[in-house]
Order: sequence, then C-alpha cells, then structure tokens
Amino acid sequence: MIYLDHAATSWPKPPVVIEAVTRALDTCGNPGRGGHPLALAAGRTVLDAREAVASLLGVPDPARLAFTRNATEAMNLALRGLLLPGDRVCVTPLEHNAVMRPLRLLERQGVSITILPADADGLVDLTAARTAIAGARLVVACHGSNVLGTLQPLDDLGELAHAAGALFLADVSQTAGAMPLPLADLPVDFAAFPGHKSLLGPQGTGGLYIRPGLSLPALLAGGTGSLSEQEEMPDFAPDRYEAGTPNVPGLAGLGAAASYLAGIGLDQVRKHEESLVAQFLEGLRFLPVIRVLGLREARHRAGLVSLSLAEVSPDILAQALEDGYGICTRAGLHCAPAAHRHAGTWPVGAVRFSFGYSTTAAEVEEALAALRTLVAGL
Amino acid sequence: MELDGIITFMSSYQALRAERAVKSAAIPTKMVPAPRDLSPTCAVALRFPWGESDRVQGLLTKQNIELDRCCPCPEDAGRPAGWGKRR
Repeated sequence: MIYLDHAATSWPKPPVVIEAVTRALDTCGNPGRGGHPLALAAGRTVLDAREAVASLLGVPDPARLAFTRNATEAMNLALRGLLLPGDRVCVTPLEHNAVMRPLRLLERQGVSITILPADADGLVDLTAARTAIAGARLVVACHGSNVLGTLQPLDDLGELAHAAGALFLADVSQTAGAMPLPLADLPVDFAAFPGHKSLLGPQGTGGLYIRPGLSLPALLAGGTGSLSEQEEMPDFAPDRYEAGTPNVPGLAGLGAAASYLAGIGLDQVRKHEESLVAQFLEGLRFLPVIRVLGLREARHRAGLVSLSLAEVSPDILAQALEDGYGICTRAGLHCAPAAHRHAGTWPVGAVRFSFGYSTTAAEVEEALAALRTLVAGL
Repeated sequence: MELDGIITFMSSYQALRAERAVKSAAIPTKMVPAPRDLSPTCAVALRFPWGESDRVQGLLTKQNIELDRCCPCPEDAGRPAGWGKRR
C-alpha cells in the first residue's frame, strides 16, 4: 500500500510514538490527581509532551500551549472565546470547516464574517485586505490550505491584523511539524494545531498556542487537579483550558513524536516534503488533461497536491488508484467547501495526494506512473 | 458476484454500522468512496449485490440504521471504459 493521505493523518507513526503510548498505558495514572507514583508519572509524561511540542514549535513558555483533542477543538476554544455579538472576523477564502462551522454558528449570534480578497489560488491580496481588516476583531488564516496547498504569509497577515488593531489566529493544521514554524517569533496571537498530522502523534491530540499576555474563557469547565477547593475555573494556563482527565497516552505519543521530529530537524522535513511536491508537480506537467489545483511552485505549497480529471468523478479516480495500484488518496470536498468553491471544484471536489516525511520519491513516482496509465486509458 | 447495488448514508457512523450488519448476514459487501453524483454528504458508501437488496434493506431497517439512498449502480458506473473492469 502507498499511503498518500498524510493531510488527513500521518501514517505510519514512528515506532517511538507507539512505544510511548503503550508505556503510558502501562505506567501512568491521572495527572495532577494525587501524589502517588502513577499520578506523578502521568503528570511528568504530560509535562514532557508539553515541553517537547513547545520546543518544536518555538514557544519558550510551554504553559502557553493548551492541549486539546484536535485542531478543531482548539479553533472552537479560540473563536468562541474571542468573538462576541457585534464583532467582525476576517478569514481567507480557503478555510476548513473547523473554522467555518464555528463561525457560522457565531454568525447566528451576531458575529459578521468577511472573506478576504484573494487571487485564484487563495493567496490573500494584502493591499486589498488592509481595507477589509479595518475595524475587525480577529483575522483567521489557514497557513497551508488542505485543498490547494497554498501557503499564506503568516508574518504579513499578522502584521496587517495588528496594524488594524485586530488579533491574529493561525490554523497551522497542515504545517505544524512539516516546516520550521517559530510561533513566538511570528506576529501570531493564537495558533491551532492537530497532533496527529505532520506532528506524527496519535489521533485525538492537538492544541492551541496562546500568546503570553492573552487569555480566553474556558471552553469546558471541570476538574483540573488544581485549586480543588474552588468551584471556579483557574485563571492560569494551561489549567484554565484543560478541564477533565487528559488523553495521557495520546499526549505521551505526541511528546515522543515531537522529540523524534526535533532529532530530524523541521528544515529537513520541509526539504524532503517540498522535493516530493516538486517531483509530483513536475510529473503532472506531462499530463495536461489533469487539472492541478493551486500554485505550481512547490516552495509556495504545503505538502499536498489536489487534482481533477475531466469527466471522471474524483471518487472513481480515487477508487481506481486504490483498487489497481494500492494508492490511498482522499476524494471529495476535504471538509473545506469554501476552498473548493474558491477553486471552482465545488460540489464535485477533487482527489488529494498528500505527502509526509515517511513518503519516498519512489512512491511518488508510482503515483505518477498510475496516473499516466489511467490517463492513457481515457 | 457483482456488487451492483449501492447504499449512501448521511454519516459514516451509519455506513459502518450497515457494513457490520450486512457482513454478519454473510452478504458480500465493500466500502467505497461515495459516488459524488449520489451523495455529496458522506465520504463512504456500501456496495452489495443488488439481488440481495430486499434482505439488505430489511437488515438495516431492523437495526434502525438510517440510510440516504439505496439503488442499483453497476460497479463500473462512471469508470472510463479504457480502464477495464475493476479488480
């Protein structure tokens, strides 16, 4: 099997991740709940994970990372905490439903949504955006589109937001762990990330980076193992954002994954994935019948390429790739109808090929060979 | 046996329950990407032999499994002729 669905979740997970999950199940109790060895081991495991992820993402104070179940929960924590009736939020046209669905709920409560002007690939027009952002409470941008692959300039967008007095929330779902992303050095106030995509951790893990000095209302209230004499949520991070027993095995795996990636170096990961995208795009140049979505330069893209084949439904193409060649891709709308509308591929969708650090050049060549054969058979 | 019937669902929760129900009755079945023209809502659909449609629908009804559509659909529907039969 050739797994090219890393944008959904990375696979296979490194053996050290699997070992860490198993070890946590075997040795950990409930973190922060009691002073016995199992509770302490769990607390140390979660602390290690927080420090490893913070270090990888360039966050000097690990307490500024709130662990969540996924990037979606992190997005909800930020969006629902920040936006009040009467507020206006600006988004790129390429946002995932992890952003758009919470925003549509908030819209019913009186929040207004502005889609930022952008070119055909979804790259925000910074000049036109300046006017659109004026008076907004918040700007939200997916760093790397999960459909077009388009990379937005977080530094420019963040500076634009701040110049207009707005906060800036980045969705780094497709880029955290895939490239150097020093969050604390960027003009980013909040960043939502999944633990299970390029960060190589288990499903059911993720988090939100919250810039020092900023605070959010808790999305969930409950026990934190701290200030147990009070019936109010603590006002300090990360406890304020982490009510209830955390996913200790998952976070153990995420911490091990972050350390594994640190050993490789995120610049090396990016170099590898960018070369795979470049190889794939170059091969597709010789198949003009295939429509490639997004920019043609690998350096401007996250590690994925979506494409469509005229007169062949994406599900048929994905099934043919799986049945005939053992290639796993993702057909459809990728939970991002806004991005597909922008690309002109709504409601049919496209087939997405997404690469990870474990993907090899030989696998990309096999995918290209399969596409060449299928195109020849049209 | 050709899996020339298809069921689409509103959610993969129902699709996976249906797969288990059909498998447990020893009826050949396969999960496939949902055909876009039949279902834009759920990522997966369930193929089965259309000749078994009464039995399959009875199984799903009995287990309160909600489906979107159930219809005949040749396995190679929409597949370019030059790609040959599906393996």
